[in-house]
Amino acid sequence: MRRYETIFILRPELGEAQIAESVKRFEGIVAGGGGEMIECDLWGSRELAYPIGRERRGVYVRLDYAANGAILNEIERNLKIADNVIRFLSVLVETETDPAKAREEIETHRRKQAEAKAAAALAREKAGSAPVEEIPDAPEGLGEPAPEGDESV
Amino acid sequence: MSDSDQMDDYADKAGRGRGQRSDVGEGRPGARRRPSGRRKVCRFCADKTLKVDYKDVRTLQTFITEGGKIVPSRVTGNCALHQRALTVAIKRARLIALLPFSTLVL
Repeated sequence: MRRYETIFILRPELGEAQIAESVKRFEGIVAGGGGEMIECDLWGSRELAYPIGRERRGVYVRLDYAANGAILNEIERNLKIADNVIRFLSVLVETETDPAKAREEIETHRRKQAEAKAAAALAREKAGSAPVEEIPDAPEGLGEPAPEGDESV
Repeated sequence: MSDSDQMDDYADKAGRGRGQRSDVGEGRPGARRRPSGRRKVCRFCADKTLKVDYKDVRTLQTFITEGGKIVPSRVTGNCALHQRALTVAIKRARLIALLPFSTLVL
């Protein structure tokens, strides 16, 4: 199966329940067609970079899932019909994916980020009250600087 | 490989030597001077953890002008591979209103 990512923008005046309902609807299409959800990401309301129709804000929702072309077509068809959706975009992420593995990867990535955050906070506490932003494992000295080729001409 | 060899062949025919570029010439009339200074490196090559992602607005924003145009790699120093990926990413971000097409006239 292929891994797709669909982002769609809902009208900002929708209530929580309506948002949850439309998200569920599209998740249902994925499951109904034999696909598998990997992640559902609610970004919440944010300002649009430019107005779409009359809207200046929108509720962003990101669906990460494993599916095939038929399911994607079905989702896009429904997104086109839905009145609450003002814009959508689907992107192919991987041509061959294992949903369980992908979910695991996301999980470990999250945990690592949380750990790094905690470590940074701890280091800051140790260093004293002065909050010093420092990245511990910054790649330094990436080999020798490449020789300037153009100079010799 | 064969591509670049052929390019050099063309360059020879045009009366230019191997490795010479028309825009590096010094004091030649009509030739653009190469501005001296630090050699630019591709940010995505220098930092392997940094990925080109159309959802990462903050990173993409550093590669567009105030008007919303994509900054050429000639200016940013990006390698061709990442500049191409970046172009696609910026265009995707524009489609879902994360980045503006233009901020000049609204």
